[in-house]
Amino acid sequence: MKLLTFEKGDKVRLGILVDERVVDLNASYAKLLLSPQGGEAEGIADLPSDMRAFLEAGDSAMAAARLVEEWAPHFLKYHSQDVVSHPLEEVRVRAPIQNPRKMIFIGRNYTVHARDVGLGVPQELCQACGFTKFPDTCIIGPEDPIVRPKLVKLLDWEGELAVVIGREGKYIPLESALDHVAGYMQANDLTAREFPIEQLFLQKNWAGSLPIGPYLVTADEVPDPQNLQLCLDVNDRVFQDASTGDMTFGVAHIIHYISQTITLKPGDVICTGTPGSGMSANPPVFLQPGDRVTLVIEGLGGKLSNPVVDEGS
Amino acid sequence: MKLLTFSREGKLGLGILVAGRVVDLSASHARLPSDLKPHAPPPSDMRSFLEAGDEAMAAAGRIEEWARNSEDAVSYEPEDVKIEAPIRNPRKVICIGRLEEMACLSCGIEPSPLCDLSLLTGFSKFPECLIGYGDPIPRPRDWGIEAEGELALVIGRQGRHIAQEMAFDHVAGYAPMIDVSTRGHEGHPFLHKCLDASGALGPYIVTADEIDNPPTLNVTMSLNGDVCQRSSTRDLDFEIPHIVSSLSHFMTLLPGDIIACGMLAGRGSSSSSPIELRPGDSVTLEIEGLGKISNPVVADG
Repeated sequence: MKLLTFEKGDKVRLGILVDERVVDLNASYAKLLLSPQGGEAEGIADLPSDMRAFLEAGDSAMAAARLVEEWAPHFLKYHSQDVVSHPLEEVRVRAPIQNPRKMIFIGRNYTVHARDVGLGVPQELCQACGFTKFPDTCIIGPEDPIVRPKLVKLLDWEGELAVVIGREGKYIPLESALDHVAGYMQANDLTAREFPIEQLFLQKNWAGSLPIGPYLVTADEVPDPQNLQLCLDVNDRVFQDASTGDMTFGVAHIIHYISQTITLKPGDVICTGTPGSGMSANPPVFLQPGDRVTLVIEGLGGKLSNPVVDEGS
Repeated sequence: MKLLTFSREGKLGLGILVAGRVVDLSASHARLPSDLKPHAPPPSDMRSFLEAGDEAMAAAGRIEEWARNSEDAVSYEPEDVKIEAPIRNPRKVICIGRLEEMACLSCGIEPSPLCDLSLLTGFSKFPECLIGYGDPIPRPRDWGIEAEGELALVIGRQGRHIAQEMAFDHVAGYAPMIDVSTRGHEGHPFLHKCLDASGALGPYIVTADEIDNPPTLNVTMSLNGDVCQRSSTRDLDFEIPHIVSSLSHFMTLLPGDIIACGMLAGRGSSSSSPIELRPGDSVTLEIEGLGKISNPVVADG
């Protein structure tokens, strides 16, 4: 299921992508409750219009969404009055989740990039640079402009596979780690390279430094997160073309490890590292106002594409 | 004014400490004489209160003054309520750090000689890391932990590109914060500042008007009743105007944001290391004029 957050008029709602249309999950579920076909729909099931609340509501909310997904193609074809949907081009797609409780990033998780930052390949996960970004400050969505801060001239991209947690856990065993995943998203971990690695915090934490989306693809559609092709281009020139199989530490290992000290909760976002960036190019290439950077990860649908502008423009 | 969050009979409330008693802001507002009553009741949580700005602060000030002289105010003995972290849902918790400390713990390397030490660095804690007075600090199953005493400032006024000379105008107040991290250089977990329940904040926020700019307060850290560190807020690595201004160039600082201003013990002294915590310990941080926060350490997992 491809879940998304979208804006239409003055409403922000949860949607699912069905046949290139955005089905309004909340409004359609309400109609399903009233329709003859809605016999399985439980009136009690809560279907929040906020992605984090939706994930926190757990299995019952996910079941309600799946019911809409099951009926939507039929309704779209035969009873369009029983489903609320819009052409994709008529809505504004926002970041799939706006307010995770936390966002955790793994650095140096691909060999190529580890060497680029001059620190070598970590032997154990505890050696990989980990850091965080502030959700309120950093999250932007597809097509939102990347605003290069005044103090930043070496604005770099990092296309990454982002994991969204669906089930709470601490001390999560490796073998059940993927059971805690709600789904996956495309993420671009924008980085200000003028700061040295010792000032990772300043490299990473600035307004709008994390485009994500357009979709949160549920885990059942991504049976093997270590077998996805990741491609990033700037103005149609390809800079990243790698497989998530090149990760030094896989998704399950990352979840297991983080959960040894931190309780992971529904909605939490974990970005799993980048296979390369602009500074690896020869000569290094950084984002300039007027550029467009686009990330596509196999199976996650759509593309995460953002134009670059200067702060104050 | 000493602003706090408390819970009583399962409900959270905003309060102010007046003459040693916790005055319930909402309940007291309802009892205010009509000539003193502001237009709206005070917000029910600290972040909303700070977002409501000067008006909410002035209304709380009027309640404080009235409560000193009137028996109609609703108040409780501190022992009859649970003191919670004064703010439970800031949008950001930023911990300012010393460069050597950050470099070692994030990447296992020595800082490059090209590093500009006049620029600050930091880590964030997750808002959910915050705990209040008396809440247990869990020692994870497989990692040791240690604590530092910090001065935390609370942002009161939103700002971006804040000039240094305007910085104090954006500070609502201050509170002590015990900053817990995982311990040990070798095999150090990289998210060492963000473990569960790793920021003990409180007991209250003292509004900035009661504190000098910059703060010059004595600081004491104790373990199991024995003083192990004495320092002063004069010993911050970076000055508050520099911290607030620098951060605001990259991000908008919002009401309720917490900035822990850095470890307070002096450099180079034997007492400057963080204090190791073990299950069964009780750690206490006291900052002159800001009160005392104390938390037990328990085994987790």
